[in-house]
Amino acid sequence: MDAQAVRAAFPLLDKPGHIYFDSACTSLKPRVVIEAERAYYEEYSACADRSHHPLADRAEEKFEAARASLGRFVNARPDEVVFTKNATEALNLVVRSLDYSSRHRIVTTALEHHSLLLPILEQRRRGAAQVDLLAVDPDGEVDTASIERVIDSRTALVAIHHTTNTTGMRAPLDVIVKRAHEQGALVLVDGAQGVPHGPMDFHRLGADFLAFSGHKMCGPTGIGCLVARADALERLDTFIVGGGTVETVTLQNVRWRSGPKRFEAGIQNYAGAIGLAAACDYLSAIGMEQIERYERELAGGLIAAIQSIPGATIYGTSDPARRCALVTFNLRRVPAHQVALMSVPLAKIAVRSGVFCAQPAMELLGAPNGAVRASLYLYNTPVEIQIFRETLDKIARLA
Amino acid sequence: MCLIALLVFLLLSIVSARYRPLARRALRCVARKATFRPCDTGLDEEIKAGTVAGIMKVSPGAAGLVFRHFEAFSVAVTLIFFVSTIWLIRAVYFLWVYGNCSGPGGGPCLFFL
Repeated sequence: MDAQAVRAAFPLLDKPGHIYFDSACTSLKPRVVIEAERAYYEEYSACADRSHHPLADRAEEKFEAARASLGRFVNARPDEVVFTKNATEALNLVVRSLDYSSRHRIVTTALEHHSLLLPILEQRRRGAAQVDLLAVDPDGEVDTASIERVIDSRTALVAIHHTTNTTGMRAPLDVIVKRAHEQGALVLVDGAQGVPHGPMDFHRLGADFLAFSGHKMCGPTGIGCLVARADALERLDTFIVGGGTVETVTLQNVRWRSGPKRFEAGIQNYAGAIGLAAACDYLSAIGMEQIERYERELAGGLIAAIQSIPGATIYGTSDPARRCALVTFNLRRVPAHQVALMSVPLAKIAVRSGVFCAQPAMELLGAPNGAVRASLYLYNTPVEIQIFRETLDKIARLA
Repeated sequence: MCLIALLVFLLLSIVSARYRPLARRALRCVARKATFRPCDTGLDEEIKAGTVAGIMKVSPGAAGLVFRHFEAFSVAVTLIFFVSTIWLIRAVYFLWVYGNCSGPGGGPCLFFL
Protein backbone atom coordinates (compact mmCIF):
# COMPACT_ATOMS: atom_id res chain seq x y z
CA MET A 1 0.00 0.00 0.00
CA ASP A 2 1.32 3.43 -0.96
CA ALA A 3 0.94 5.36 2.28
CA GLN A 4 2.05 8.64 0.72
CA ALA A 5 -0.66 8.39 -1.96
CA VAL A 6 -3.18 7.62 0.77
CA ARG A 7 -2.03 10.62 2.80
CA ALA A 8 -2.49 12.92 -0.18
CA ALA A 9 -6.22 12.13 -0.12
CA PHE A 10 -6.68 13.59 3.38
CA PRO A 11 -6.85 17.40 3.61
CA LEU A 12 -5.92 17.46 7.28
CA LEU A 13 -2.62 15.78 6.46
CA ASP A 14 -1.70 18.64 4.13
CA LYS A 15 -0.37 20.43 7.21
CA PRO A 16 3.20 19.28 7.63
CA GLY A 17 4.30 17.68 10.86
CA HIS A 18 0.94 16.78 12.34
CA ILE A 19 0.69 13.18 13.55
CA TYR A 20 -2.80 11.82 14.10
CA PHE A 21 -2.83 8.75 16.33
CA ASP A 22 -6.43 9.03 17.52
CA SER A 23 -8.30 7.17 14.81
CA ALA A 24 -10.06 4.86 17.27
CA CYS A 25 -11.87 7.96 18.48
CA THR A 26 -12.59 9.23 14.98
CA SER A 27 -10.70 8.88 11.73
CA LEU A 28 -9.66 11.61 9.36
CA LYS A 29 -11.83 12.11 6.27
CA PRO A 30 -10.62 11.91 2.69
CA ARG A 31 -11.57 14.52 0.10
CA VAL A 32 -13.96 12.12 -1.70
CA VAL A 33 -16.10 11.88 1.43
CA ILE A 34 -16.16 15.62 2.00
CA GLU A 35 -16.95 16.10 -1.68
CA ALA A 36 -19.83 13.58 -1.56
CA GLU A 37 -21.41 15.40 1.37
CA ARG A 38 -20.88 18.75 -0.30
CA ALA A 39 -22.53 17.47 -3.49
CA TYR A 40 -25.68 16.48 -1.60
CA TYR A 41 -26.06 19.93 -0.05
CA GLU A 42 -25.17 21.84 -3.19
CA GLU A 43 -26.77 19.73 -5.89
CA TYR A 44 -29.74 17.73 -4.59
CA SER A 45 -30.52 18.67 -1.01
CA ALA A 46 -34.02 17.24 -0.71
CA CYS A 47 -36.06 14.61 1.15
CA ALA A 48 -35.73 11.01 0.10
CA ASP A 49 -38.65 8.56 0.26
CA ARG A 50 -41.30 11.26 0.55
CA SER A 51 -41.50 13.98 -2.06
CA HIS A 52 -41.65 13.32 -5.79
CA HIS A 53 -39.76 15.95 -7.73
CA PRO A 54 -36.42 15.66 -9.52
CA LEU A 55 -34.34 16.75 -6.54
CA ALA A 56 -36.11 14.34 -4.20
CA ASP A 57 -35.84 11.54 -6.74
CA ARG A 58 -32.11 12.09 -6.98
CA ALA A 59 -31.76 12.22 -3.18
CA GLU A 60 -33.73 8.98 -2.92
CA GLU A 61 -31.63 7.31 -5.60
CA LYS A 62 -28.36 8.36 -3.91
CA PHE A 63 -29.59 7.42 -0.44
CA GLU A 64 -30.61 3.94 -1.52
CA ALA A 65 -27.39 3.58 -3.51
CA ALA A 66 -25.56 4.42 -0.28
CA ARG A 67 -27.45 1.65 1.49
CA ALA A 68 -26.42 -0.78 -1.25
CA SER A 69 -22.76 0.38 -1.00
CA LEU A 70 -22.74 -0.20 2.73
CA GLY A 71 -24.27 -3.61 2.22
CA ARG A 72 -21.61 -4.54 -0.33
CA PHE A 73 -18.90 -3.33 2.04
CA VAL A 74 -19.89 -5.89 4.66
CA ASN A 75 -21.45 -8.42 2.29
CA ALA A 76 -25.04 -7.81 3.31
CA ARG A 77 -28.16 -7.16 1.27
CA PRO A 78 -29.49 -3.56 1.13
CA ASP A 79 -32.63 -4.64 3.00
CA GLU A 80 -30.40 -5.73 5.88
CA VAL A 81 -28.94 -2.24 6.33
CA VAL A 82 -30.53 0.18 8.80
CA PHE A 83 -29.09 3.68 8.95
CA THR A 84 -28.58 5.02 12.44
CA LYS A 85 -26.93 8.05 14.00
CA ASN A 86 -23.89 6.03 15.02
CA ALA A 87 -22.90 2.64 16.43
CA THR A 88 -24.21 3.69 19.85
CA GLU A 89 -27.70 4.17 18.47
CA ALA A 90 -27.52 0.89 16.56
CA LEU A 91 -26.49 -0.98 19.73
CA ASN A 92 -29.22 0.73 21.76
CA LEU A 93 -31.74 -0.15 19.07
CA VAL A 94 -31.10 -3.86 19.43
CA VAL A 95 -30.61 -4.07 23.20
CA ARG A 96 -33.65 -1.92 23.99
CA SER A 97 -36.00 -3.30 21.36
CA LEU A 98 -35.56 -6.99 21.94
CA ASP A 99 -38.19 -8.89 23.87
CA TYR A 100 -36.77 -10.51 27.02
CA SER A 101 -40.02 -11.99 28.32
CA SER A 102 -39.32 -15.63 27.40
CA ARG A 103 -35.53 -15.54 27.59
CA HIS A 104 -34.31 -12.97 30.05
CA ARG A 105 -30.52 -13.14 29.96
CA ILE A 106 -28.03 -10.94 28.13
CA VAL A 107 -24.47 -12.20 27.91
CA THR A 108 -21.64 -9.74 27.41
CA THR A 109 -18.13 -8.99 28.72
CA ALA A 110 -16.60 -6.38 30.98
CA LEU A 111 -14.51 -5.24 28.03
CA GLU A 112 -17.36 -3.52 26.23
CA HIS A 113 -17.54 0.13 25.35
CA HIS A 114 -20.08 2.11 27.37
CA SER A 115 -22.18 2.35 24.19
CA LEU A 116 -22.96 -1.34 24.51
CA LEU A 117 -22.55 -1.85 28.23
CA LEU A 118 -24.86 0.97 29.33
CA PRO A 119 -27.96 -0.08 27.38
CA ILE A 120 -27.44 -3.59 28.74
CA LEU A 121 -27.09 -2.32 32.30
CA GLU A 122 -30.18 -0.21 31.74
CA GLN A 123 -32.15 -3.31 30.82
CA ARG A 124 -30.99 -4.87 34.07
CA ARG A 125 -31.93 -1.75 36.07
CA ARG A 126 -35.44 -1.87 34.60
CA GLY A 127 -35.74 -5.51 35.57
CA ALA A 128 -36.14 -6.52 31.93
CA ALA A 129 -33.07 -8.71 31.74
CA GLN A 130 -30.38 -10.38 33.76
CA VAL A 131 -26.77 -9.71 32.76
CA ASP A 132 -24.12 -12.43 32.68
CA LEU A 133 -20.48 -11.87 31.86
CA LEU A 134 -18.08 -14.04 29.92
CA ALA A 135 -14.81 -14.43 31.78
CA VAL A 136 -11.90 -12.30 30.61
CA ASP A 137 -8.27 -12.77 31.63
CA PRO A 138 -6.16 -9.80 32.81
CA ASP A 139 -4.66 -9.51 29.32
CA GLY A 140 -8.10 -8.79 27.89
CA GLU A 141 -8.57 -12.18 26.26
CA VAL A 142 -12.07 -13.68 26.43
CA ASP A 143 -11.88 -17.05 28.18
CA THR A 144 -13.30 -19.50 25.65
CA ALA A 145 -14.02 -22.03 28.40
CA SER A 146 -16.59 -19.67 29.90
CA ILE A 147 -18.53 -19.40 26.64
CA GLU A 148 -20.18 -22.79 26.98
CA ARG A 149 -20.77 -22.27 30.68
CA VAL A 150 -22.39 -18.83 30.44
CA ILE A 151 -24.38 -18.96 27.20
CA ASP A 152 -27.34 -21.28 27.65
CA SER A 153 -30.96 -21.78 26.67
CA ARG A 154 -32.04 -18.84 28.85
CA THR A 155 -29.86 -16.43 26.90
CA ALA A 156 -31.78 -14.01 24.70
CA LEU A 157 -28.86 -12.01 23.40
CA VAL A 158 -25.08 -12.25 23.31
CA ALA A 159 -23.76 -8.73 22.83
CA ILE A 160 -20.04 -8.45 22.29
CA HIS A 161 -17.29 -6.48 20.60
CA HIS A 162 -15.61 -7.50 17.38
CA THR A 163 -12.46 -5.60 18.38
CA THR A 164 -12.11 -3.76 21.69
CA ASN A 165 -11.35 -0.07 21.78
CA THR A 166 -9.02 -0.60 24.76
CA THR A 167 -6.60 -3.27 23.60
CA GLY A 168 -7.43 -3.64 19.90
CA MET A 169 -7.91 -7.38 20.46
CA ARG A 170 -10.64 -9.44 18.86
CA ALA A 171 -13.25 -11.59 20.54
CA PRO A 172 -13.44 -15.28 19.52
CA LEU A 173 -16.62 -14.64 17.57
CA ASP A 174 -16.67 -17.94 15.71
CA VAL A 175 -16.95 -19.87 18.97
CA ILE A 176 -19.37 -17.39 20.52
CA VAL A 177 -21.72 -17.22 17.52
CA LYS A 178 -21.77 -21.02 17.21
CA ARG A 179 -22.59 -21.53 20.87
CA ALA A 180 -25.21 -18.75 20.93
CA HIS A 181 -27.04 -20.12 17.90
CA GLU A 182 -26.93 -23.65 19.27
CA GLN A 183 -28.73 -22.28 22.29
CA GLY A 184 -31.19 -20.21 20.24
CA ALA A 185 -29.77 -16.83 21.30
CA LEU A 186 -29.26 -13.84 19.03
CA VAL A 187 -25.81 -12.31 18.59
CA LEU A 188 -25.13 -8.59 18.43
CA VAL A 189 -21.60 -7.62 17.40
CA ASP A 190 -20.20 -4.17 18.12
CA GLY A 191 -18.11 -3.66 15.02
CA ALA A 192 -17.17 -0.02 15.63
CA GLN A 193 -13.46 -0.86 15.96
CA GLY A 194 -13.50 -3.90 13.69
CA VAL A 195 -15.28 -2.94 10.47
CA PRO A 196 -12.92 -0.02 9.65
CA HIS A 197 -9.76 -2.10 9.89
CA GLY A 198 -10.26 -5.29 7.92
CA PRO A 199 -12.53 -7.25 5.62
CA MET A 200 -15.97 -7.89 7.06
CA ASP A 201 -18.39 -10.48 5.75
CA PHE A 202 -21.63 -10.23 7.70
CA HIS A 203 -22.95 -13.57 6.53
CA ARG A 204 -19.70 -15.42 7.16
CA LEU A 205 -19.51 -13.79 10.61
CA GLY A 206 -22.85 -15.44 11.29
CA ALA A 207 -24.05 -12.84 13.78
CA ASP A 208 -27.61 -11.58 13.74
CA PHE A 209 -26.72 -7.93 14.19
CA LEU A 210 -23.63 -5.90 13.41
CA ALA A 211 -23.32 -2.27 14.47
CA PHE A 212 -20.73 0.22 13.32
CA SER A 213 -20.08 3.94 12.94
CA GLY A 214 -19.20 5.88 9.83
CA HIS A 215 -16.82 8.35 11.39
CA LYS A 216 -14.28 5.72 12.46
CA MET A 217 -13.91 4.49 8.88
CA CYS A 218 -13.22 7.73 7.02
CA GLY A 219 -16.92 8.59 6.86
CA PRO A 220 -18.77 11.58 8.27
CA THR A 221 -19.86 11.93 11.88
CA GLY A 222 -23.53 11.45 12.73
CA ILE A 223 -24.06 8.38 10.59
CA GLY A 224 -23.82 4.74 11.55
CA CYS A 225 -25.32 1.47 10.64
CA LEU A 226 -27.04 -1.60 11.96
CA VAL A 227 -26.73 -4.60 9.70
CA ALA A 228 -29.30 -7.21 10.63
CA ARG A 229 -30.59 -10.48 9.30
CA ALA A 230 -34.13 -9.92 8.07
CA ASP A 231 -35.66 -12.45 10.50
CA ALA A 232 -33.74 -10.99 13.44
CA LEU A 233 -34.82 -7.47 12.50
CA GLU A 234 -38.44 -8.57 12.54
CA ARG A 235 -38.00 -9.74 16.13
CA LEU A 236 -37.21 -6.22 17.28
CA ASP A 237 -39.92 -3.98 18.62
CA THR A 238 -40.15 -0.41 17.36
CA PHE A 239 -37.48 1.95 18.66
CA ILE A 240 -37.74 5.59 17.62
CA VAL A 241 -40.91 6.06 15.61
CA GLY A 242 -42.19 8.82 13.39
CA GLY A 243 -42.46 9.85 9.77
CA GLY A 244 -41.24 7.20 7.38
CA THR A 245 -41.67 4.23 9.72
CA VAL A 246 -45.33 3.50 8.95
CA GLU A 247 -47.54 2.27 6.12
CA THR A 248 -50.77 3.72 7.50
CA VAL A 249 -51.86 5.45 10.69
CA THR A 250 -55.33 5.85 12.11
CA LEU A 251 -56.12 6.87 15.66
CA GLN A 252 -57.05 3.25 16.31
CA ASN A 253 -54.34 1.41 14.47
CA VAL A 254 -50.78 1.75 13.14
CA ARG A 255 -49.38 -0.43 10.38
CA TRP A 256 -45.60 -0.40 10.49
CA ARG A 257 -43.36 -0.70 7.49
CA SER A 258 -41.21 -3.78 7.23
CA GLY A 259 -37.43 -3.99 7.01
CA PRO A 260 -34.98 -1.20 7.74
CA LYS A 261 -37.47 1.62 7.16
CA ARG A 262 -39.35 0.65 10.31
CA PHE A 263 -36.33 1.92 12.25
CA GLU A 264 -35.49 5.03 10.23
CA ALA A 265 -37.77 7.63 11.73
CA GLY A 266 -37.88 11.15 10.40
CA ILE A 267 -35.67 12.83 7.84
CA GLN A 268 -32.45 10.90 7.64
CA ASN A 269 -28.86 12.07 7.54
CA TYR A 270 -28.77 11.77 3.74
CA ALA A 271 -25.50 13.64 3.35
CA GLY A 272 -23.93 11.45 6.01
CA ALA A 273 -25.16 8.22 4.43
CA ILE A 274 -23.92 9.30 1.00
CA GLY A 275 -20.61 10.38 2.53
CA LEU A 276 -20.31 7.05 4.31
CA ALA A 277 -20.93 5.20 1.06
CA ALA A 278 -18.13 7.27 -0.48
CA ALA A 279 -15.90 6.19 2.42
CA CYS A 280 -16.81 2.54 1.82
CA ASP A 281 -16.01 2.88 -1.87
CA TYR A 282 -12.73 4.65 -1.03
CA LEU A 283 -11.63 1.91 1.40
CA SER A 284 -12.78 -0.86 -0.95
CA ALA A 285 -10.76 0.66 -3.80
CA ILE A 286 -7.63 0.41 -1.65
CA GLY A 287 -8.65 -3.04 -0.46
CA MET A 288 -9.57 -4.00 3.09
CA GLU A 289 -7.14 -6.94 3.05
CA GLN A 290 -4.33 -4.56 2.14
CA ILE A 291 -5.38 -2.11 4.85
CA GLU A 292 -5.46 -4.90 7.42
CA ARG A 293 -2.01 -6.13 6.37
CA TYR A 294 -0.56 -2.63 6.46
CA GLU A 295 -2.07 -1.91 9.87
CA ARG A 296 -0.63 -5.14 11.20
CA GLU A 297 2.81 -3.95 10.15
CA LEU A 298 2.14 -0.64 11.87
CA ALA A 299 0.93 -2.47 14.99
CA GLY A 300 4.19 -4.43 15.13
CA GLY A 301 6.22 -1.23 14.83
CA LEU A 302 4.10 0.59 17.39
CA ILE A 303 4.30 -2.20 19.95
CA ALA A 304 8.07 -2.48 19.49
CA ALA A 305 8.44 1.30 19.81
CA ILE A 306 6.50 1.44 23.08
CA GLN A 307 8.21 -1.66 24.45
CA SER A 308 11.57 0.05 23.90
CA ILE A 309 10.64 2.77 26.41
CA PRO A 310 11.87 1.84 29.88
CA GLY A 311 8.98 1.40 32.30
CA ALA A 312 6.24 1.30 29.66
CA THR A 313 3.33 -1.07 30.27
CA ILE A 314 1.23 -2.24 27.33
CA TYR A 315 -2.28 -3.50 28.05
CA GLY A 316 -3.34 -6.60 26.19
CA THR A 317 -1.23 -8.94 24.14
CA SER A 318 2.02 -7.80 22.54
CA ASP A 319 1.42 -10.05 19.55
CA PRO A 320 0.61 -7.74 16.61
CA ALA A 321 -1.10 -10.60 14.79
CA ARG A 322 -3.79 -10.64 17.47
CA ARG A 323 -4.61 -6.94 17.59
CA CYS A 324 -5.20 -3.99 15.31
CA ALA A 325 -2.93 -0.95 15.21
CA LEU A 326 -4.20 0.30 18.54
CA VAL A 327 -2.01 0.22 21.62
CA THR A 328 -2.99 1.29 25.10
CA PHE A 329 -0.16 1.86 27.52
CA ASN A 330 1.16 3.75 30.51
CA LEU A 331 4.58 5.14 31.33
CA ARG A 332 6.00 4.71 34.81
CA ARG A 333 5.42 7.77 37.01
CA VAL A 334 4.10 9.99 34.21
CA PRO A 335 0.29 10.19 34.29
CA ALA A 336 -1.47 9.28 31.05
CA HIS A 337 -3.01 12.73 30.63
CA GLN A 338 0.44 14.32 30.92
CA VAL A 339 1.80 12.04 28.20
CA ALA A 340 -1.05 12.93 25.87
CA LEU A 341 -0.93 16.63 26.64
CA MET A 342 2.85 16.88 26.23
CA SER A 343 2.83 14.96 22.94
CA VAL A 344 1.13 17.94 21.29
CA PRO A 345 3.64 20.73 22.00
CA LEU A 346 6.61 18.38 21.70
CA ALA A 347 5.82 16.78 18.35
CA LYS A 348 2.25 17.72 17.29
CA ILE A 349 1.11 14.18 18.06
CA ALA A 350 -2.59 13.63 18.79
CA VAL A 351 -3.21 10.67 21.09
CA ARG A 352 -5.99 10.04 23.57
CA SER A 353 -5.76 9.48 27.30
CA GLY A 354 -8.34 8.36 29.83
CA VAL A 355 -10.54 5.31 30.15
CA PHE A 356 -11.88 5.50 26.57
CA CYS A 357 -15.58 5.17 27.51
CA ALA A 358 -14.80 1.69 28.80
CA GLN A 359 -14.24 2.17 32.52
CA PRO A 360 -14.90 -1.43 33.64
CA ALA A 361 -12.58 -2.64 30.88
CA MET A 362 -9.76 -0.38 32.01
CA GLU A 363 -10.24 -1.48 35.61
CA LEU A 364 -10.08 -5.10 34.51
CA LEU A 365 -6.91 -4.43 32.54
CA GLY A 366 -5.29 -2.88 35.60
CA ALA A 367 -5.47 0.77 34.58
CA PRO A 368 -8.40 2.19 36.55
CA ASN A 369 -6.97 5.70 36.34
CA GLY A 370 -6.64 5.50 32.60
CA ALA A 371 -3.93 5.09 30.03
CA VAL A 372 -2.64 6.53 26.80
CA ARG A 373 -4.05 5.17 23.56
CA ALA A 374 -2.32 5.41 20.22
CA SER A 375 -4.62 4.25 17.44
CA LEU A 376 -3.39 4.22 13.88
CA TYR A 377 -5.04 3.90 10.51
CA LEU A 378 -4.17 3.53 6.86
CA TYR A 379 -2.72 7.06 6.61
CA ASN A 380 -0.11 6.61 9.35
CA THR A 381 3.48 5.69 8.61
CA PRO A 382 6.47 4.01 10.29
CA VAL A 383 8.24 7.40 10.31
CA GLU A 384 5.47 8.78 12.51
CA ILE A 385 5.88 5.82 14.86
CA GLN A 386 9.59 6.64 15.12
CA ILE A 387 8.81 10.27 16.04
CA PHE A 388 6.29 9.03 18.59
CA ARG A 389 8.91 6.71 20.10
CA GLU A 390 11.41 9.56 20.42
CA THR A 391 8.78 11.78 22.02
CA LEU A 392 7.75 9.08 24.49
CA ASP A 393 11.39 8.51 25.33
CA LYS A 394 11.79 12.19 26.25
CA ILE A 395 8.61 12.18 28.32
CA ALA A 396 9.55 8.95 30.11
CA ARG A 397 12.86 10.52 31.18
CA LEU A 398 11.02 13.28 33.05
CA ALA A 399 10.23 10.97 35.91
CA MET B 1 -5.33 27.53 43.48
CA CYS B 2 -7.85 28.22 40.72
CA LEU B 3 -8.55 31.64 42.24
CA ILE B 4 -4.85 32.45 42.08
CA ALA B 5 -4.75 31.14 38.51
CA LEU B 6 -7.68 33.38 37.66
CA LEU B 7 -5.90 36.45 39.08
CA VAL B 8 -2.68 35.60 37.25
CA PHE B 9 -4.41 34.99 33.92
CA LEU B 10 -6.60 38.07 34.29
CA LEU B 11 -3.49 40.19 34.74
CA LEU B 12 -1.72 38.48 31.87
CA SER B 13 -4.84 38.86 29.70
CA ILE B 14 -4.39 42.64 29.91
CA VAL B 15 -1.14 42.40 27.99
CA SER B 16 -1.79 39.35 25.80
CA ALA B 17 -4.93 37.84 24.27
CA ARG B 18 -3.23 34.46 24.41
CA TYR B 19 -4.09 34.16 28.10
CA ARG B 20 -7.77 35.04 27.80
CA PRO B 21 -9.03 31.50 27.10
CA LEU B 22 -7.03 30.35 30.13
CA ALA B 23 -8.59 33.12 32.23
CA ARG B 24 -12.05 32.00 31.10
CA ARG B 25 -11.31 28.42 32.07
CA ALA B 26 -9.91 29.51 35.42
CA LEU B 27 -13.09 31.52 35.96
CA ARG B 28 -15.16 28.43 35.21
CA CYS B 29 -13.07 26.50 37.68
CA VAL B 30 -13.62 29.17 40.37
CA ALA B 31 -17.35 29.11 39.66
CA ARG B 32 -17.48 25.35 40.10
CA LYS B 33 -15.45 25.45 43.30
CA ALA B 34 -17.65 28.25 44.63
CA THR B 35 -20.68 26.02 44.12
CA PHE B 36 -18.98 23.05 45.82
CA ARG B 37 -18.41 21.10 42.63
CA PRO B 38 -15.04 19.70 41.60
CA CYS B 39 -13.13 21.62 38.97
CA ASP B 40 -13.38 19.72 35.70
CA THR B 41 -11.40 21.91 33.34
CA GLY B 42 -8.10 19.98 33.52
CA LEU B 43 -6.45 23.39 33.51
CA ASP B 44 -3.74 22.43 36.01
CA GLU B 45 -2.80 19.37 33.93
CA GLU B 46 -2.62 21.42 30.76
CA ILE B 47 -0.52 24.16 32.31
CA LYS B 48 1.88 21.60 33.72
CA ALA B 49 2.19 19.76 30.40
CA GLY B 50 2.60 22.97 28.42
CA THR B 51 5.20 24.38 30.82
CA VAL B 52 7.23 21.18 31.04
CA ALA B 53 7.12 20.63 27.27
CA GLY B 54 8.28 24.21 26.71
CA ILE B 55 11.22 23.79 29.08
CA MET B 56 12.04 20.38 27.60
CA LYS B 57 12.77 21.95 24.23
CA VAL B 58 15.50 24.04 25.89
CA SER B 59 16.71 21.78 28.68
CA PRO B 60 15.41 18.24 29.21
CA GLY B 61 17.18 18.08 32.59
CA ALA B 62 15.46 21.22 33.87
CA ALA B 63 12.15 19.96 32.48
CA GLY B 64 12.49 16.81 34.58
CA LEU B 65 13.18 18.90 37.67
CA VAL B 66 10.14 21.10 37.04
CA PHE B 67 7.97 18.04 36.27
CA ARG B 68 8.89 16.35 39.54
CA HIS B 69 8.48 19.51 41.65
CA PHE B 70 5.80 21.29 39.72
CA GLU B 71 3.77 22.39 42.74
CA ALA B 72 6.76 24.09 44.36
CA PHE B 73 7.81 25.55 41.02
CA SER B 74 4.35 26.98 40.35
CA VAL B 75 4.12 28.48 43.86
CA ALA B 76 7.53 30.11 43.39
CA VAL B 77 6.65 31.50 39.96
CA THR B 78 3.31 32.79 41.27
CA LEU B 79 4.99 34.52 44.21
CA ILE B 80 7.57 36.11 41.91
CA PHE B 81 4.76 37.18 39.61
CA PHE B 82 2.80 38.88 42.39
CA VAL B 83 5.87 40.51 43.97
CA SER B 84 7.05 41.89 40.64
CA THR B 85 3.52 43.11 39.86
CA ILE B 86 3.38 44.95 43.20
CA TRP B 87 6.81 46.47 42.54
CA LEU B 88 5.74 47.54 39.11
CA ILE B 89 2.60 49.25 40.45
CA ARG B 90 4.68 50.93 43.15
CA ALA B 91 7.24 52.16 40.61
CA VAL B 92 4.55 53.54 38.30
CA TYR B 93 2.98 55.35 41.28
CA PHE B 94 6.31 56.89 42.28
CA LEU B 95 6.98 57.88 38.70
CA TRP B 96 3.62 59.61 38.56
CA VAL B 97 3.94 61.41 41.93
CA TYR B 98 7.68 62.00 42.34
CA GLY B 99 9.04 61.66 38.85
CA ASN B 100 11.24 58.72 39.85
CA CYS B 101 10.77 55.04 40.57
CA SER B 102 12.01 54.94 44.18
CA GLY B 103 9.80 57.44 45.99
CA PRO B 104 10.75 60.66 47.83
CA GLY B 105 14.45 61.44 47.47
CA GLY B 106 14.99 58.51 45.21
CA GLY B 107 17.15 58.44 42.13
CA PRO B 108 16.03 58.28 38.55
CA CYS B 109 14.38 55.20 37.11
CA LEU B 110 16.62 52.64 35.53
CA PHE B 111 15.11 53.19 32.12
CA PHE B 112 15.81 56.96 32.38
CA LEU B 113 19.53 56.45 33.02
